[in-house]
Amino acid sequence: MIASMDPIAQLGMIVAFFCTIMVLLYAFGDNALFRLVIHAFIGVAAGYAGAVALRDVLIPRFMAMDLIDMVVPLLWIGMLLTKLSPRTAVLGNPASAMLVGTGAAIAIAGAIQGTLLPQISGAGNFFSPEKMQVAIGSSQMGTVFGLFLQGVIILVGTTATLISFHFSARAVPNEIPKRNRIIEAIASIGRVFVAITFGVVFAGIYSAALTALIERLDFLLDFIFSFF
Amino acid sequence: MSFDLPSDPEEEIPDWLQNLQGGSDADAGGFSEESEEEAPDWLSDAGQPEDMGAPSGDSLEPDDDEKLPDWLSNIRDSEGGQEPAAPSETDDDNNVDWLEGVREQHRQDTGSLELEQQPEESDDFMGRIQELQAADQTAEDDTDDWLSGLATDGAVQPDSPIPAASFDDADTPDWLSGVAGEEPAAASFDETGTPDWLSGVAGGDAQSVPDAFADSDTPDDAPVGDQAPADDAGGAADWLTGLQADVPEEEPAADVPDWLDRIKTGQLPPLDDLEEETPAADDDWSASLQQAAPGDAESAAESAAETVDDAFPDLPGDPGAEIGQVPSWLADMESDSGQKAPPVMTTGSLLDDIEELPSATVFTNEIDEDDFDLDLDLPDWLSDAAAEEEKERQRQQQLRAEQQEAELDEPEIPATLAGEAAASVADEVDLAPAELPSWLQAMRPTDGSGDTGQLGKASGQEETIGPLAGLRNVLPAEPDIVHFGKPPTPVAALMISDAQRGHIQILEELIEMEAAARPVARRLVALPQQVMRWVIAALLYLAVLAPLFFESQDVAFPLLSSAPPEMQAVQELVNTLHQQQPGAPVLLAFDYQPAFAAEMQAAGASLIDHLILNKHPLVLVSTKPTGPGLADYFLRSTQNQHAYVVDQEYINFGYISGGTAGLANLATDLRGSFPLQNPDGGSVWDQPPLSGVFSARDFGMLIVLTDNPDTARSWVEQVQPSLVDPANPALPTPLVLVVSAQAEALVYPYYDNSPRQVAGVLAGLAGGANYENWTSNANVARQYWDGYSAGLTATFLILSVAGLYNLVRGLLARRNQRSGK
Repeated sequence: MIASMDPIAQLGMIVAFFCTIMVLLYAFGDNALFRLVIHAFIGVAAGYAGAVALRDVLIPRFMAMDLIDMVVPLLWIGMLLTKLSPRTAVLGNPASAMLVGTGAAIAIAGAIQGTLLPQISGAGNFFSPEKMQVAIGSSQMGTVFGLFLQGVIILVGTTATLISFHFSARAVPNEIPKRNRIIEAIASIGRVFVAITFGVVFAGIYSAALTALIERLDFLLDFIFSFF
Repeated sequence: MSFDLPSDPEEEIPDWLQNLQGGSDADAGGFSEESEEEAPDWLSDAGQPEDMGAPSGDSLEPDDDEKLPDWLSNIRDSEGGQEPAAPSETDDDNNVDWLEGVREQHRQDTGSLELEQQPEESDDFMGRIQELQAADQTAEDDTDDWLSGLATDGAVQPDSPIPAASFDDADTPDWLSGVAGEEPAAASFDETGTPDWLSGVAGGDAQSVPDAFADSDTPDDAPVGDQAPADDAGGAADWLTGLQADVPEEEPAADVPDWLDRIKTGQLPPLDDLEEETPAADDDWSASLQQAAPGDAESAAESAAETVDDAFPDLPGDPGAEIGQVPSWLADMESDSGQKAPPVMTTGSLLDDIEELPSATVFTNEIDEDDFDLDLDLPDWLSDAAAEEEKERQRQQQLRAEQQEAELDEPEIPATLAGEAAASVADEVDLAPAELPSWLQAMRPTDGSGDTGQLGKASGQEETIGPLAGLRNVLPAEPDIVHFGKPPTPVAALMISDAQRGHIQILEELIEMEAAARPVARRLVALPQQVMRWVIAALLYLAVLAPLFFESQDVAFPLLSSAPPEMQAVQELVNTLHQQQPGAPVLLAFDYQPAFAAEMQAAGASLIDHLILNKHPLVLVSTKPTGPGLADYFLRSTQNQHAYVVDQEYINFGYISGGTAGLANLATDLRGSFPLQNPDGGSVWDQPPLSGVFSARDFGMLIVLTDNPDTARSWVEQVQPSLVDPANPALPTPLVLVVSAQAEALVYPYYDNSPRQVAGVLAGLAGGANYENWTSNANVARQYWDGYSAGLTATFLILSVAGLYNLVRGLLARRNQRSGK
């Protein structure tokens, strides 16, 4: 297979093969080969990102602009470039403030409109009388029970999880501050939901890592078999 | 020739003492070369007949105005420049009229000039001497005609004009110039009034005051009569002529001392002879003073006091006893002249005057202390006071030295305690109230160039430029006062104790320790644990490699019936899209990191393949810089069988900059977000398949491939709302998430919501396997599924075995505890 590739592709395959081997050597502990590959990857990724930004963003946009339209973008670019030097970094503060402020505003607005309000609305739908009446009218008691149970689980899980992160406690002289017993009990339930969530996430991470391992081992086998 | 006066302030002689000395010297009639440096001005002038006619500038060099006390200077200043210039060349301290009586009495007692002959002003007296000598030696000189008349008549004709031509000589000294300008000066006197000291000279008879002094503010009770310059004042100017008109001409002749008679009669020896006659007295003029006064100093002072009492009945009591009090006539002088009252004369003030005198002089030669014995010259009452003052000063100096030594020897004593100790010592020795406490002295800057240092430095500086050039003790110039920057040296040094120094050292060591690089401690892992890791890794590798090595695809995919609903929804969406919008472009966002490329390929390959098979044009974008490259790699590696060509079967818009803001811009202005152009110059949006796409919801479907739940959330929050068509909100453009298995749990709520924000989710390799199973088109998921299943099985076994081992180990440990082992 590799013999049919062009020289650049063949060189890429060889480099990829040895880089993969060096990364897998981490199973035997941190070593210089692993660090070398990691550093090379970070540097290549950064350089590649800069090249992509230049090719996909700056050049196409400036090519599509008139000379007058370039004034404002160039002004912002110049202000950001002043951040390269500590002496002139203050000149780039307006541009940085513009970026940070705009990004924060957009993120907050999107979180409220796209996550917070819809999720609150969706959690309440499990107790929606309309849905209950539809389920009851169709004699689907299981569906009714299922909706109610699902709603209860979501309500309890969400509330208990939020309370588990409530760390306020009343100060008592000569004693360690402790949360209220009711709060502590609800928080313990919340910690169960948190543990389940972390377990599911960890399982997904392990599944993703296992898939990546399979792909790399498959690559190594293909590379080796290509010489035969 | 110059007059050399002692530069040491303590050795300076007050003028009134000089007058006393002069009187004594006159009686002694001795002059010497050495005495020239010590003799008063008028004596020196008298002893230099060759300088009488045209005195050199050197002979008139001293300017005693600076020696005057302030209150006397004020008196003179009030009289303005109308005062004759001649008095300014002599000791103006002789204006202390109330002491004139003492001096005159002293002279009477010692056989010197009689009181009537004693001029009110020494410069008048000196002028007469000069004139007499000049008349004897240069009688034919025109410039001294009037002096010759004075010498012969013993008095100056009041109306005799002074030839102005005689003063036109360039060498004419200032005092003679002042004499030459006497006539115009008289007019000026009309404006300002008679000076106080001259009022006393004018006598109490107001009728005798010429018209020119009619407007004078001579005090009524001013001392008159005896103290008036009864002599003819040969050297006096015209302003004295009016005064002299009332003076009998016989009086000066009768009061002329013997040595003046010798001068008048031409018996005055030459200057050289005079100088040779006083060799002994030149070394110590005070000795000559003692010789001139054969009686003891006490008797002379007593007799002088009696004379003063007789001459000034208004003078209260014994001048020696109440010398510190201002005489009434002097107070009247002050009030009439409108000047500041003269300071109370005390022994201290007199000594201060003595100290101040040489500071204003320009004489450089010094006199030996042995040659100037102040004790011999001072009266007893003054000597005692001076001695007490000197003792007090020495005692204060000794106290300061002791305090400084104590501070140096005991640095650890707090400043407040030291100040208290110093205060107690000061109380014991009866320190002056103005003495600076030691604790306050301790607070003063001990180093550097603070303000004090600047002022102290400036006090000794000599002006080099400007009108004050050559003068010392002037106010500091601007460079010393104004500082535009930091001082070159710290203002004050910190007083650091040993404890503070130790703390500083500790702090410095802490800082150095923080900055020092710490060697990384090598993590040591027990060999059994390390071996266990290697065993687990080997088992996992073997479990994964075995299916890959044998290219096994025997493990069955999950059942379609058991497929999660979110995955089934994706399948239904693709079918619906193909049925309702055939050929509709699909936007694919490759927003995952390269490390997750394998999983994302396995999860989305079958979906992308399905879309391609359904002839849906693909538009590739990415919010990550590595996304466009991964998109190309995805299509080349997973869809190689389709032989898709970029910009023909699919369009890669590339990177969307700005992150969340870029997504918001994409949702609101799709075409503005990708201002791409074709190679022929046209916009890509004007050509199929994008000609009908103006916004995000114009796409048939949006598929986001990401490994990050936050990225998926950003797409949902920013773009999904724009996919809802206001005209048909129930059928929004579907948004499908193809995510990594690690993000499945976090994006699922967006699907499970009502209304659904995400139409379908494919998560991980399992999602790709389900989709491949549904499409019956084996792809990457099928290739990895056996290895993935073997790996999960091996992981399950390892975890089970490890769990059982720990369980058994725990049970055994508990059993052993129960059995007591």
